[in-house]
Amino acid sequence: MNILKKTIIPAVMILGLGLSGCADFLDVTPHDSQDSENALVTLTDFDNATNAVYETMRSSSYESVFLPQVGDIMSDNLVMNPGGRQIYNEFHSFRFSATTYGTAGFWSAAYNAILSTNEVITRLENREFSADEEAYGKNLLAEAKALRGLIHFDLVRVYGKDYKSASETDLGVTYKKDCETTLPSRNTVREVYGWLVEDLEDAFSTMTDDYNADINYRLNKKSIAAELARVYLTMGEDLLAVQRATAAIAGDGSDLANASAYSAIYNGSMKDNPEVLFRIALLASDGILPGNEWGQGTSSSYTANYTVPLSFYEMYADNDCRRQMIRTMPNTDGVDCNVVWKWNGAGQTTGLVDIPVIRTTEIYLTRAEANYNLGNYPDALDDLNYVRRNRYANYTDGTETGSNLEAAILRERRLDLAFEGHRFFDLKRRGEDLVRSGDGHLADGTGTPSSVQNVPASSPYWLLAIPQEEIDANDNMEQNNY
Amino acid sequence: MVISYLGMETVETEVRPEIRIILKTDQKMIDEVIVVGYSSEKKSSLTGSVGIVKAEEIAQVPVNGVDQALQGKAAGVQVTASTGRPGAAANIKIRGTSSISAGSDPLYVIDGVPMTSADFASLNSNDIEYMSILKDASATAIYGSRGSNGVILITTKKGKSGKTNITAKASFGISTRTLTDDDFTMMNAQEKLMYERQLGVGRGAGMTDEEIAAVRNVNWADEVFRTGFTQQYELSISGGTDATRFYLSGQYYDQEAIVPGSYLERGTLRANVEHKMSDRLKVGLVSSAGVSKEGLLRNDRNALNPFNYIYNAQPYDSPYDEDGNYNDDIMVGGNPINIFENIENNPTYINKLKIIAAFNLEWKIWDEIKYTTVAGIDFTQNLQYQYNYPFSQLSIILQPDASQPRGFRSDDFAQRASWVWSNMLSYDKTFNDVHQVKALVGMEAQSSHYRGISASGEGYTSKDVDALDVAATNYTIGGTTTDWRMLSYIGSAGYTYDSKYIIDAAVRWDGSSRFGTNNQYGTFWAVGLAWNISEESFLNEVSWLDHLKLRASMGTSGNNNIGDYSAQGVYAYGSYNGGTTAYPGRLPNPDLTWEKSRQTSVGLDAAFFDNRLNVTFDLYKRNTTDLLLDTRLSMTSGFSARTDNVGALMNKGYELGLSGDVFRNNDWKVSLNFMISQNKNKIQELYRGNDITLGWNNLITEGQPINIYKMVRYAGVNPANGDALYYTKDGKITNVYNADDAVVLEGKTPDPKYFGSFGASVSYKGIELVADFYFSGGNYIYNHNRYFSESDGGLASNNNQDKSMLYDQWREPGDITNVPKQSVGNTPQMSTRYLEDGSYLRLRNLTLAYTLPKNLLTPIKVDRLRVFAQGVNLFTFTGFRGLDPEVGDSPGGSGAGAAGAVVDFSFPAARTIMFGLEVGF
Repeated sequence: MNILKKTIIPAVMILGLGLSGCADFLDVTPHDSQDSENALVTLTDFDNATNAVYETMRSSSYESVFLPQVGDIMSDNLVMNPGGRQIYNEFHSFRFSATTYGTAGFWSAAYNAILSTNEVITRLENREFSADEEAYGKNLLAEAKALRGLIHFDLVRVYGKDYKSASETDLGVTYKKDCETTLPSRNTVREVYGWLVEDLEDAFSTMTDDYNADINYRLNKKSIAAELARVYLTMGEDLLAVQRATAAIAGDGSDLANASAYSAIYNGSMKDNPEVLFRIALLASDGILPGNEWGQGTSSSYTANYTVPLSFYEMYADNDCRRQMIRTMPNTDGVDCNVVWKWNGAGQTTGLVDIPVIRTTEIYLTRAEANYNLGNYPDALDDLNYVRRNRYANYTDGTETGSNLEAAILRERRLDLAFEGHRFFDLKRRGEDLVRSGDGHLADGTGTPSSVQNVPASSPYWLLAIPQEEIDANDNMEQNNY
Repeated sequence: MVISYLGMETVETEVRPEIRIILKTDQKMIDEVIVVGYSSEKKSSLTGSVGIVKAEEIAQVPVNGVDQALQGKAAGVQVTASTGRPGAAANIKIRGTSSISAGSDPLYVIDGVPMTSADFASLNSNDIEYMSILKDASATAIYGSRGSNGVILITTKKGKSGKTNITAKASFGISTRTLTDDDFTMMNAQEKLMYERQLGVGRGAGMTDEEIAAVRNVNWADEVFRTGFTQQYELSISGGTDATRFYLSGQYYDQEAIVPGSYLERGTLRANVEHKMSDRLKVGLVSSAGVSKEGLLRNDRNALNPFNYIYNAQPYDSPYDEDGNYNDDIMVGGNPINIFENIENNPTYINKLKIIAAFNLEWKIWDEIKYTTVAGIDFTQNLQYQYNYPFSQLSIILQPDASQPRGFRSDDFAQRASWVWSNMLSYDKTFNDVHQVKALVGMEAQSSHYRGISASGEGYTSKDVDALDVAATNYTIGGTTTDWRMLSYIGSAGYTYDSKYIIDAAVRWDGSSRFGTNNQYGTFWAVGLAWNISEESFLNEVSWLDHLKLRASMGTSGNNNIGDYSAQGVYAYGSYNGGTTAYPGRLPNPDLTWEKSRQTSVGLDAAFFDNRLNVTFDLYKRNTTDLLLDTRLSMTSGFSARTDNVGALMNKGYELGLSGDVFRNNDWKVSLNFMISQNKNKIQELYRGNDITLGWNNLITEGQPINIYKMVRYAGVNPANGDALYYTKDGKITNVYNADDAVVLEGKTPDPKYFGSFGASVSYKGIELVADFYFSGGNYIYNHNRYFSESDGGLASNNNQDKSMLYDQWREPGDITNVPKQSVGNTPQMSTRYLEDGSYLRLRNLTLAYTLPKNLLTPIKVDRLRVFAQGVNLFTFTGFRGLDPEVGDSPGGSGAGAAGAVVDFSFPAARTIMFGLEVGF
């Protein structure tokens, strides 16, 4: 009793009333995340941070649904099925607003990915590399810069005017080079292209040939060159486009999938396919099935959200291996439609397919188009024929010249890149009007045609709206004029 | 001669042959000592607003949770059952909604140990001696940190020295639906088939009158609802010596809900012991353990929610075929699922274990100075089980390919272990008989650790083999771990002059691990004043006034109900193509700090005419600032939002309580009570003035009460062509529904404008009759059931429809009706057409009890024998057309709206009748 009173209790009292001594009592940290200051230490950490850029690009708001789908929805390659989910219908009719579903998602995902690139770039630029980490570190830095350029290119071609028609003052997007939380305004289209070319060229010149050379789910020197070719073609810098395209491809057609290997591109993983220069890899555990967004159902009863207009379907010749990417099958209402079958995996209705962001075919056709613009017609025809030999059965080389050659290059480009999100951007960069065929959504061309048939190149709706959430949060952010 | 009786004023009179003496209640004697924080106070010496709910009042209402028993028992305390599901927690709001995102639940403290409301279902309400509800700044100051939503202190029974008391109690009862046949207005089979014939859809299309008449009608309300049986047994033993007191109890409770698949089975044990080691040293232990099992159903429009079937199943579809087997082609919610087959073949339930225990020690170091310590633990473990039998309809739908593994099993395990340790030094001395001085200093540390694990697998062969191990394929696992801690320092002081004038003050510094490193600590304070006017000599002669006290207080309190790590900038982890990814997951906010509320309150307590009339009145105003809200960031930063301290809101209102034993003599006692509260809420400031949209129809906007409705206004039916009409934003009438025409509906919110209770208790000798009514009104509820059942034909082929669609529909030009022209081409639209006044009045409780006279019991050695019958929710008066106007559900989780804003096939309250027997030895 006395011990209790004289020793234990006073001891407990002093201990208790004086718990203030434990200054770190309130320091509690999460178990599933790391505080930002200590998160990036080793180069493996930086590799993981670079990997995160691809993870963000994989989101359905970006590469796995939004860009591949909206790029064709806002074109003459698709017509909406009124009995489908009507997803992105505002984009199909060019009547979207700043609050239309998808607008904020893409903007947000792109800048979220850019933050990851800047986390890597700003920290690695200030890092003193030790001898054994120098090569790896510089390659990671190059990869992050290339990604920063690539994502800003996607942003500026969605929200800004085409480079060639943009004035000195026309607004592009904010080019983000830091990790700060600020309220920035938009840079001009010219500024954005200047910086993104700088980033991509910097990456191209500093990345070593062997880095990521045997994988295509992250950028390597070849795919950076391909991205640069794409950028230069958009900018009208045809000579540079030819140069970078040449660095990206074999140049003799050997890296094109031939007619019999073509369907294999879309049957599951694009891992070892030389045709695919850069893909976004999808695993079953990611829970993303791109085919689901094009339409749902079984192979006997399917509801497509968008169908292929008859006149476009008929552009695919019988000996064209790409014709199998479209199927005529009954929709849930029992009537036949031509539906896109590119995203349905190995015969599944909603399949798991990687996203082919850059294929060699695109780069051959890019080089062909740039060479045509430069007046190098034989080179242009060669590249076009490489592609056609690999797409048409029993193909005899074409001999087009002049404007027929240009038309043939563009026709092949539309046929090959259809349903992968290119058509809108090709029309936009060439300043062409969108002219839809008037076909309805059904297989025989009847049914409901698109509510908007013609969109002149002068329409402000070639620029998507800056999301309202951004405008509300940021007084410095200017909206496009509609 | 001196006549005295406990609790009565002593009377001295001369002895005469016949005298009649009326004893008066002694106000001083019945001045209860109650727990109000880290100390106990006499009620008369409080400066704050404290509501007391005693054991008898809780026991009166045979509901399964202590929280629900509080309804109508304390002014200003709004109690709404979240759903009618046995085991569901109630939503409790004290003096309005004081926070937008950081929760409005009060802080619950049981015997010094903070706990969460969701765990009330594992507590035996009969173990509770009383609850103190601390409402204003002065009362909550000592709990400053988390007192901004009020504090509910629960004190359990401790036992009394003397003879050992044994009480045994058994009760039995039934629960039924409150919905009457008249309330049920869905079409019967014949009506539905005629309606389908008219529209040319579904089974009725093309049927003849004879064919329709021959179809058997199924009343789905009768099919879904059942009579649930409830039984409850308990035993308590209490007693002790001068040195040691104890209270032991055990209870078994078993309740079936009014629908199959939902039930609550619970066992609780309690041991409270207190021992005086010497005049100066006292130790004690309070402990309780509860285990329960609750059957779970799905919510909302889920095809596995039975309440969905009441409205949406076709009245010509029967759950069983002629042989009594389940029909498997009933389409509700878009899937062919038979709800009864599902409940039988896909069992889901949750097992809960709850342990609360606290050791306490009190040492009088000197006469005036006392040291108190409480060390407590609060341990909760929830284990949720789900098994879709391999042969169940659901398993077959999920895996149509019979060659593939069928059957799904999952376990969700969650465990929260918390400890609290408080140490107090207090000083209490009265100088010259009139100057009472009190002071207290202390500290409190708290730590809470949560761990959750989930696992599931697919592919089973038998319903009896259900181990996760056995699953053939598709294993998944998940797991989370979180922690929070708090460290607080407390100081308070008070001075009372001659029991007349009271002033007290408190200050508290609270540190929370959830806030930014620059701002972890918040300072909260309060000052209270009270004047016991009736103690003044000039009122001594006023015989009709027993008691009069004025109170006033002002002070601040805080709220930290946000994510455990909201202030910390972190990297999160994911994966890309099988490799690890690391990305910025959250921005740091080192300045993030407490949400603060500042309350000013004045009150009055009075008793008149020998306590025949007791009045309590309180006025309050509470401003909440530094609201914990997500601010919108420029997305160019890579983030869209960050939790910050922005915005302000205000609550003000009054509470009035009247009660009294209006008549009493030796045989009779008649008591009446009445309580009403009104609260007004106003959003004063939001981040950049940006509105916050909540769910489908609720809006948080500056200048309006929280969660006001914003909807498209329905304008009735065009008599010329039967079109449904709406108002545009500008008030013009249109037949085109456009969601952009939604406008703020002035004065219409999910929160009641007033609520309260009234009741009477009449006793004659041993017979007692108690009736309690609860009322609540002025709130609006969006009845989403009607979106489906009054679809104007749009959903006619898949869903049953309300009778009015058939009988009141527009048919020809000139028809004046509120039901548009019916057509399968119509699309139901969310509009004020389905927004309803949620006011109601309910006979909450009716009890008839008889306590047998002592002289009958003494020969059989029984102290006390009481038999009783109780009814809960016997009658409800309301114009609301859902199953139950008491809507507390927070369908926010499913994105539908604020708590109480949406009825979405919710679980309604039951009508319960219980019979019981209580024996004391």
